Amino acid sequence: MIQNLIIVESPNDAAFIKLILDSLTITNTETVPINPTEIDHLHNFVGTDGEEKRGKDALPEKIEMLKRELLTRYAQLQHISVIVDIDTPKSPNGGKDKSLQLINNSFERAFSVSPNLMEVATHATISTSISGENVTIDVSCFLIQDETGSGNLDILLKKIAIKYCVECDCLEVMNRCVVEKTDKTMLDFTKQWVNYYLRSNASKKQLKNAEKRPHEVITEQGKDIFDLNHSLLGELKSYLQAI
Amino acid sequence: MIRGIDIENFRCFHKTHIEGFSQINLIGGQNNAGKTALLEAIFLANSPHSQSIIFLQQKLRGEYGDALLPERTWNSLFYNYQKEVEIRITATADGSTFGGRFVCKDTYKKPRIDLEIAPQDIIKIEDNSSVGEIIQSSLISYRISPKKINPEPAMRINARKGEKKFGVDGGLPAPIFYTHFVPAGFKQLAEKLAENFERLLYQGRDKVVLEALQLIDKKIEKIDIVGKKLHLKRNGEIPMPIGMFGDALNKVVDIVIRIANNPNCVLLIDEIENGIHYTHQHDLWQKLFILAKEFRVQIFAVSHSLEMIKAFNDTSLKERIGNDISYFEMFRSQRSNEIVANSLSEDALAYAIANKQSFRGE
Repeated sequence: MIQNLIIVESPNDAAFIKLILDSLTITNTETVPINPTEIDHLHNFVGTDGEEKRGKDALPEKIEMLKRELLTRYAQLQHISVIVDIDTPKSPNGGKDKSLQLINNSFERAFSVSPNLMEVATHATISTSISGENVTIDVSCFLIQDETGSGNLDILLKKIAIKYCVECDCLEVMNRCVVEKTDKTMLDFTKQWVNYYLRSNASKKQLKNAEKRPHEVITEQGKDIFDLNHSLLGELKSYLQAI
Repeated sequence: MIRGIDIENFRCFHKTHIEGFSQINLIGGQNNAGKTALLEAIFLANSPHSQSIIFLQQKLRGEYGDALLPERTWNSLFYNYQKEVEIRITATADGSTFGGRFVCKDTYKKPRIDLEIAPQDIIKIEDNSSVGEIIQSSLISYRISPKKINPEPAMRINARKGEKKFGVDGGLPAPIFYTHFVPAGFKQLAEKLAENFERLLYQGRDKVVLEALQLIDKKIEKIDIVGKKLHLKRNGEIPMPIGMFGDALNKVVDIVIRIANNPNCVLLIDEIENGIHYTHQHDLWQKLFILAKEFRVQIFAVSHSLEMIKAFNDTSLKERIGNDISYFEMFRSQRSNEIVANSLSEDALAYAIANKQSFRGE
């Protein structure tokens, strides 16, 4: 029975968190075993306002859907963890404060009670009534960021990449050229960089399916193409071990 | 307007609490999740009397009882056939609570008593009132009234051994809200449709019916009553009885006439998608949203259909009439094993539909 549910933004995030969890289970035999855990990701959809909601903007709806699942497939669930990108403070739900507010508000909207998470990696217990049934559940969150306190999974993956990739090298050159001419970095530079990196490490079979390729490469080749002992992953690993 | 309901020991409900009903409510869920039973409970909360019970048992469930075994007559009304526990259904509306209690009482044939007791006999006194042959099984209903502390006089329906018809004792109290129940697969008689349509004609409200019919068939240009039957006339054709036009038109006409004839009523529609082609479902919802608002009618509709629920969600996103629309998903909780009805917001339902997530009790 699933006891922990981790909600992440995308299939790539799900594959990466699974990779870290697997590495923790394998390498840390002396630590307390991690409880049965499932990782689910957010989906895009068109909301009431007619706008497409992507990534963590769809968190309120995902948490509301969880309400029914706590009475069905997750009847034994004890803990919900939300792991999303911190992003830049300029974006609508970006930065630490707005990200925490989004998470708190999403739970409050679904369960009529906010976990009041003020910090990442802290736990809160919420007790609520779902369709007349009393449910108590532990909630926590983690915001993916780099050493500057901003960023997202792509920035993290770029920093812990260990294989040489000629396409990525060329993309760096192209980006420098764009910066020289426009004073701005290329649009989606890091995203493109990670995309080329994963593509260059993909097997022939993985190359055939562009949609599934990125998370399949992370799942299957991740431990060989990323430094899972990188210091940037320290806090994330500590958090995952504690849930 | 009914806002919530508590159901105890009725049909598949052991103990269920539902709140958050709106003006228009769509209820989804798997088979045997209690969707129709919820409609029945709403029906009984409004009209807790014998006619309601007979309608539900016979017309809706097809249960006519067995004249030789009267004690089985009311079994299926009770959760797990526990007829020694009372059924209790209470609804809330605008701060008041109302509903009904239903109790089953069997009457036994009096045992023969031998009056000749010899002085040396040991006399053992036993309660033998529940021993022997059951000759009558009664369902007694009590109204839970918003105004009175004491229950109103009970009504009793008696199923007697050897008698096919039920005996009824007691008067017929007025319902809290007039309630209309459209069962799944129900086809209204052409004569009854004509009679109800005539009432609309006198009130000058007949136009709504033609507009609704044109959602399904744009060529229909006129509604007539010929030989006491409702006839529809398509452009360039002669008028034909409504029975010739298929189930969808009969259903739409029936629903629209009921709404327009009965302002402030509660309308219960089981399996609303039956007979309605998916290309018309969006328009049907749009019409129902408008009519419900105009005639202040509260609608509870049940559907299994993915397309019907999608059309409901799509219409509610595009044709909003405030916060008066709710979707409920019924399923059995894995935590408590009770049946629950979970409401989903329009956005959450849109999220679930777009991403093939569960929202029909799966």
